[in-house]
Amino acid sequence: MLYKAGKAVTIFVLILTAVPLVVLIGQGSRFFGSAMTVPGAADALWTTLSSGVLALGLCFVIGLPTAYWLGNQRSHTRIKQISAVLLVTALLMPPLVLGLVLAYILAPTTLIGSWLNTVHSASNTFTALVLAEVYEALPYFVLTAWSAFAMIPREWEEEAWVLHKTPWQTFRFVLWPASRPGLLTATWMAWARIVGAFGSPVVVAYHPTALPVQIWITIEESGLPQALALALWLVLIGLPLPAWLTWKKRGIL
Amino acid sequence: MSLALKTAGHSFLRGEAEWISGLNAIIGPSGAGKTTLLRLLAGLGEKTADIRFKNAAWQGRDHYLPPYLRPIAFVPQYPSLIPFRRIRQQIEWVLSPSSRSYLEEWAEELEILPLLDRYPRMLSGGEQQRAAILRALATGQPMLLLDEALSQVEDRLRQHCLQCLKHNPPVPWVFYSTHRLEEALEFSDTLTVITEGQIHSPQTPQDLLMAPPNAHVAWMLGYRGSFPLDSQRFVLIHPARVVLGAHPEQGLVYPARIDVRSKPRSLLSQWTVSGHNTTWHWDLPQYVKEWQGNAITIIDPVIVSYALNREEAQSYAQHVSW
Repeated sequence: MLYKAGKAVTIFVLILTAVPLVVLIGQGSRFFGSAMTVPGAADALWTTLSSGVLALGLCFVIGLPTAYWLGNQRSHTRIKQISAVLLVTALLMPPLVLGLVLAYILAPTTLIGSWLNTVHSASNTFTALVLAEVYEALPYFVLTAWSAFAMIPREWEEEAWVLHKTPWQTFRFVLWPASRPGLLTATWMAWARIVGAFGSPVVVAYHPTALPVQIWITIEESGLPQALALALWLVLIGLPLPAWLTWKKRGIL
Repeated sequence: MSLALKTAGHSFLRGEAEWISGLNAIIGPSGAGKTTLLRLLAGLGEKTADIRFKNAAWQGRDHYLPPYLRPIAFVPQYPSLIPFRRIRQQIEWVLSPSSRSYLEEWAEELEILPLLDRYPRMLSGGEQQRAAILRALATGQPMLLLDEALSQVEDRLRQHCLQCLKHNPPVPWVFYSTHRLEEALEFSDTLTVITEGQIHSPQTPQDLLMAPPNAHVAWMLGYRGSFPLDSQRFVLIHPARVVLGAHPEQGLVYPARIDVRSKPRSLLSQWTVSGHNTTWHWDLPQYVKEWQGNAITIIDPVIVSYALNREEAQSYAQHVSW
């Protein structure tokens, strides 16, 4: 009885979940081709892709060693505990708040902002956009990659060392392949997050306009149908890979 | 040309030892510190102890050579073979050019040549242990540390492997911890006994049997029952070193009233020895059922004598077990 009721509710929830996707595809495809001909839209797409690749690269380069260190059983427990709290807080921080704080830090009146200003204006730049995206995506990447490394038994690493293999060789032959599925998940979670970043870019990097901000501008200037078409573009850039990876795993992440 | 260990500052192990090349066995009860010692040599343990190999310091007060720079290969009791790599891939990964030529020969000795293209999960416990040993041999390092690495291997094959390690050693140095005393006595060049963290200096099997460092070790080596040799000394006797009856050509004949009775529902027999104004009761492994006589012969009595008092002798006979 309980099992059957669960099934009925599950079907209801599935329909509920599918509605936005169906509407988006149905409505968004109406202006899908013409959406990119609107002034600014193609630029926004390019801005999102280029800043996104850069931000993802940054997340990977600084997030991977962090996750490796945190996932190692030799590392200090208290530092791990503090890191976990910090990362979860950063993960759950409203993006708008993050944007406000970044805007304050990068403003010409503050120390960092004035220092950056001597080279180039810090806020409303491509750099600020990349920075905002990294701030939004990094906790997702590190937390997911951390759990991937934490699942690797310590013995695998130790046993490679006592077979005359250096930590670098061990990483390449043992740790990297063992953590690769988890790292892939982490990377595409970060990518989805970067592509969809709106809350903090809208404050700290209104220009150069990325796709989510462009959608916001389109709503105000042209109305909902055109905005939905752009939204479909955004979703198609960000989500197929995570969806495919989840499908491949035959279950939740 | 030796490996010297001083356990200064170690939280558990005490004592020092110096080994030369050959097959060195490490024996002791469970929890005595065999694995701790081998992990220390491998560089996976505490950094406090002093270890010197051929006058090069591996670790000491202010320096520490990481495991991958020591000329060792370590095989733990439960090897964690990398589950997503075939055995052959793992061996190729660690293979040194010098050991390529004799690798196949050793795979045959260990009887795992047909299993090399399998994944670890397709191997039984004993097969995994043998694969781990082959993988360690492939590194071509001169020192092999085996932590009960043959414990799950069937008897015939284990004996064969030990024969090979003794008579046709692939590496000059082998350390081998084990529970199996008989095998350690039979195959090893030296024996290092550990009891509750105390390391006793390595000795040849012969020397160790002749003069165990203390009564506890003597008990581990199979000595059973205590015996007053004269007014000062008591001996622990080894069942294999006692002959019932008077056989002066074999050792010291001790005149006493001997009464051996089998104990019901037990693998031990009770020996009652009356002499020297005392009566002693021993429980010894049962190799005679009933026997009565006026003398026993103790083979080589001097080498098993201790200045134990009577209570100590009794308590060792009754409470120490391995």
